[in-house]
Amino acid sequence: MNSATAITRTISIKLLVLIGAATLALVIFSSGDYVAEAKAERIAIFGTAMDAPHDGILLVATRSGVINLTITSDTVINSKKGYITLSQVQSGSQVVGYFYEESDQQIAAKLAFKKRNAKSNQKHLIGVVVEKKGKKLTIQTTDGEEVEVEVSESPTDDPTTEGSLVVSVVEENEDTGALDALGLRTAEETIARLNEAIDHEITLAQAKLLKVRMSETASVHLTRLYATLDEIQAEAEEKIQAAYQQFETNYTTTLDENLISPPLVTISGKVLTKEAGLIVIAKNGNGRRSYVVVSSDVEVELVDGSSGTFLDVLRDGYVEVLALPQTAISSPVAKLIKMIPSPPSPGNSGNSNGNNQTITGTIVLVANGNSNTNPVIVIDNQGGPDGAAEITPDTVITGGDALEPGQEVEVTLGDDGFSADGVEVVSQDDQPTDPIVTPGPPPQYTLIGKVREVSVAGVILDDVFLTIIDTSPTTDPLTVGQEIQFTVEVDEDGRFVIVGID
Amino acid sequence: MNASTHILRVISLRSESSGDETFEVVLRNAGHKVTVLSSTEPAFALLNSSWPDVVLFDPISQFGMSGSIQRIRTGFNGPIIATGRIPDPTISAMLEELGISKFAATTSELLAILKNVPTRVIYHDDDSNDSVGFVATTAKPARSTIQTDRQLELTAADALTLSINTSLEPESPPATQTEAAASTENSGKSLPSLKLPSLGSFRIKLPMKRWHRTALGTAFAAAVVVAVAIPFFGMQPNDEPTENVAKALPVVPQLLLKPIGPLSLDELSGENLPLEISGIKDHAIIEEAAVAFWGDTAPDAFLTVNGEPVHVSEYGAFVIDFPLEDGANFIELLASDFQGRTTRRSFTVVSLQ
Repeated sequence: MNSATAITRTISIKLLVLIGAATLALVIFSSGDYVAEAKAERIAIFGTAMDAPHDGILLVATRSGVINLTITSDTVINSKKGYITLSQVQSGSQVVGYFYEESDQQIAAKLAFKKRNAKSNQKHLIGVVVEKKGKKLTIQTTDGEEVEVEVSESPTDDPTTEGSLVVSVVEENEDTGALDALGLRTAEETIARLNEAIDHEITLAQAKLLKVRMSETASVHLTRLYATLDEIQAEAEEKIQAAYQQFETNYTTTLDENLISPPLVTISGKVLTKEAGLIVIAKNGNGRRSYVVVSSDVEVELVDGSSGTFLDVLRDGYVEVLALPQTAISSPVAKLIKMIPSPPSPGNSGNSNGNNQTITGTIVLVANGNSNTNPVIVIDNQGGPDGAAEITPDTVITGGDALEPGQEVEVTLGDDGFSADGVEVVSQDDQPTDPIVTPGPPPQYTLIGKVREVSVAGVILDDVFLTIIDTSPTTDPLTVGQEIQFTVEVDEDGRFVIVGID
Repeated sequence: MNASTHILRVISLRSESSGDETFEVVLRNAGHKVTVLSSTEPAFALLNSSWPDVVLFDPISQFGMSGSIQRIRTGFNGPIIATGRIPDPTISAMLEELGISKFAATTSELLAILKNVPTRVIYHDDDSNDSVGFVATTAKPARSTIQTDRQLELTAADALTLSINTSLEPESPPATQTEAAASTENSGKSLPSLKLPSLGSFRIKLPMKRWHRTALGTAFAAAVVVAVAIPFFGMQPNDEPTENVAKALPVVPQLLLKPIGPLSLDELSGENLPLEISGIKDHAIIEEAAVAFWGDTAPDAFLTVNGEPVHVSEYGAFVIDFPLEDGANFIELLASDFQGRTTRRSFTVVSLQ
């Protein structure tokens, strides 16, 4: 070893030591903060605020009981969109987050608050685009309401046209009330996607299901377009009619390629005129009239579901007609006429006119407070977050003597959103706590597909191997390529065992 | 003197997209004979014509599909081991339901499992001629009768894939005992050694001058400093901000996107649009930065989670990998179809990160 090599090695070693020391220092300095911030065990909290916070204390009713949360300057309050601030918290507000215990206190670490039963500002909107101007779409929803939304995508990426049936996720701007479309999908996109999926390597049963859904979607789109013509302004009618013809042609072609019958439109209304081979229908007895051709082999279904004849279709009766859509040269052709009851008079529907909120669910906890507070019940609300209510001396309890965990109840809240005006015990928990479960028969599945291979041991149906144990298919020999339906069970080894052949 | 060695014949099934060869490398280093197959039909054909001791498969890949597992189980009655980390216990439960009882998340777990797997073929080390004898000590393994009847024919493409995959094996043994016997007959002597040649220690000798070494040392030191500094100072190469969204699943398992029992037409035709969700519960406490959950709805449904559209497979299945904030998380799913049905499901979870 010469001296130069020795020097180089010495320098390298020193360099490595230096780097190691620097790395160690960095690790120590950075982890020091972490160690200093290390806290006691964090405990999640899901509950209902019993009152507005006072003096930094927030009383929260949870399934574990009432918790006195201490809110400090270190408590992180989530102030994102959709949440309420600490100053907005009141009795009934939803409280979610975590805390830790220190010196017999529950110190809130991170919390988020929501109004009780706060409606999400996002919803799905389904309807026909009746007007399109740049990013603004006017959508006629299924209940006839016209809604204006603004799509976030650029107009060139927007797949809609006037006449498109869309489902869109929209967000309501809390300040302006405007609706922003965060995303949308058109019926024609969906039908194209399903059509493409049928060509994938999917099972035969699933392909059949996709075809049915594709046909239904096409029928719904044409029906909605047809119905839109009743509501739309005259100047837009021409565009919608053109869209109707275009979609009808496209869908019929797509379905025909898949050996599916053409889409049917549903036309509902009052029978104004009945002649041989023709009925005239108008929605609610007035407005645009539909001339529907009735062929001799039309099926008729009476109000009670039984079969009838065209003679049973009476003038001034209400019908729902499934018909081949009209084309440029022909009127709709009825395939099925369903007699339906007369629609109810406007104004007698709806039953929710009360202003007080209700909570329906099962009581999971009855927390008896101290002498200064009333008992609180915490309810497992099947349809949403847990609820809680204070039982005051004025609370009217019906259907039972005392409130206990396990009872299904419907609670009507007072104006403050927390105290209960009334509690109706819907049912008692009569179920044994540890019911004896008797094993039922193994579940059976119906598999439809094409036979790929056959042997004495089993059959490969699409890409699933089905084992033959007791049921021999040789009585009616199976052939490769045959479409067939099997009933199978999953045995204890996890195999599909054929128990029936249809 | 002959010493018996516990050498197993292993077939490893994994998709071509999975480039992780860790399990195979470790098994080969342990002396086991590993054949890797990536194409479905050759895999099933080989299982019918060969008698491996163990079958490994990657449940996240195409072999995780329920139909594939059924076929593996039908053609092979030995242990089947699912390798790799399974992201959720529900998937493990589904695999167990399909007959998979052994799981090896790591190579050490796999080696531990293999220690208890009996070999059907014992390789005898023969000190005298330093070769390995290939002696079948057990009869042909018990197999279902399907083996004799179910002969899958390989297409040219499949055969090519099979030959490519097997040719990649270093000194791999014959695929079947029949081939082994034929090979022995043809050569008239025992099979060649199956040991991999050991590589001796080596040094790279380059004509380096002093300044070369200094420059090399400086470059190495600079690389170390940069490597240490990046994680501590949050530096990013090229100063480009990269999105770092927490994920609960490395990849989306096919097992979930092609469910064994998708919703039927009757189930989809009710008053309400079905929206079945697994993998998450309301009021869950999750000590992770993300949660994965999945479910079924109509294949044509428009599904959103907190306003973001979600891909729904042609079977109506979906998988959502949802990043969680530390603290409260409100998750709302909305599914709608063009018939006008909308179903809403919401979950409130707390993430303790």
